[in-house]
Amino acid sequence: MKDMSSDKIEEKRDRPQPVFYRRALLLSALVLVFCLFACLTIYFRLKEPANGLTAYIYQNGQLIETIDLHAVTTPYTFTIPAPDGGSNTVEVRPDAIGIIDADCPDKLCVSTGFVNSTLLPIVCLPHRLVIELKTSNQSQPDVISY
Amino acid sequence: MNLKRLTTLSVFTVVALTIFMLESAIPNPVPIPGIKLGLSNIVTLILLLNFSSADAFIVLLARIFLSAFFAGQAVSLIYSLCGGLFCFVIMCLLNRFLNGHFIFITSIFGALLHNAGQLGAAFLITRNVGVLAYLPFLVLSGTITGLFTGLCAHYAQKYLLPHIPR
Repeated sequence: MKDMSSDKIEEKRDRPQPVFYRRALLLSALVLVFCLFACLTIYFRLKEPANGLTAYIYQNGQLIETIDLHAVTTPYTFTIPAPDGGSNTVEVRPDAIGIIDADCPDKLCVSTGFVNSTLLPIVCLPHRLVIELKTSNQSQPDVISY
Repeated sequence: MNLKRLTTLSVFTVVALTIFMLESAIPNPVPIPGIKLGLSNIVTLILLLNFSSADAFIVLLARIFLSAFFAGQAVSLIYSLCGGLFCFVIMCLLNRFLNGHFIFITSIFGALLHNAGQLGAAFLITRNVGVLAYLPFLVLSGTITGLFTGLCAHYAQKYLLPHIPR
């Protein structure tokens, strides 16, 4: 008899009360709203024009180099030394830029590959390096709205 | 801290650390920084469900410091700590809010806040607004990976844990 009653208690505790279903539903709706916003942001950023790109290279938050990628005719590489002794090797191609070598441990910036759109910047976190692409005509402001 | 608690928490730390090391050995299929499964969060979820928040916190901190030691990256410690603390706080709160039910929802929010914390740290370190362009991608990836790890924890709790003697 005692076992049965404890089983029942166990079963009761296993099944969430209605209030927790409501709370779970609320939180799920919140997640869906977040995802919807994320999808919309990505969708609109994909539609940004990708012609006449300029690369802005930031180190430690300071602009150290500006390259008009549209003016590039022959690919070339250069190396950016990091303050802590490391370095990143950047390759510039017509309308594209990428980090081809770095001496950081994860090499995420290298695996990002070459970018030719404004969608995502190349980031090397260990060397605090960010390469951002923007369309050259700066008449419209950056549409980043979250 | 008595011996039994110390041993239990040590075992969980080892499990979390093993999962973390195994996961970091798998090459990342998506070349976006910050996107990963975060499987070691399963251990944090299990601890939140079965033990106290303090226990979960101790194991989380031990795992973060040990993994930074083993992976050998000082800079990644900042991101791990930022993401881990944000993740832990929201998971603690939501686990109370949901009374331990629907662990995968807790896990999704944990993953979202983890990504947000890491992006915040990245923003503070690079001091570049451009890195925030990653946010929508991290929201989507956090939802998917959080759901996955949450379901892992859910089924581990349901089928695995009853077989472990306590």
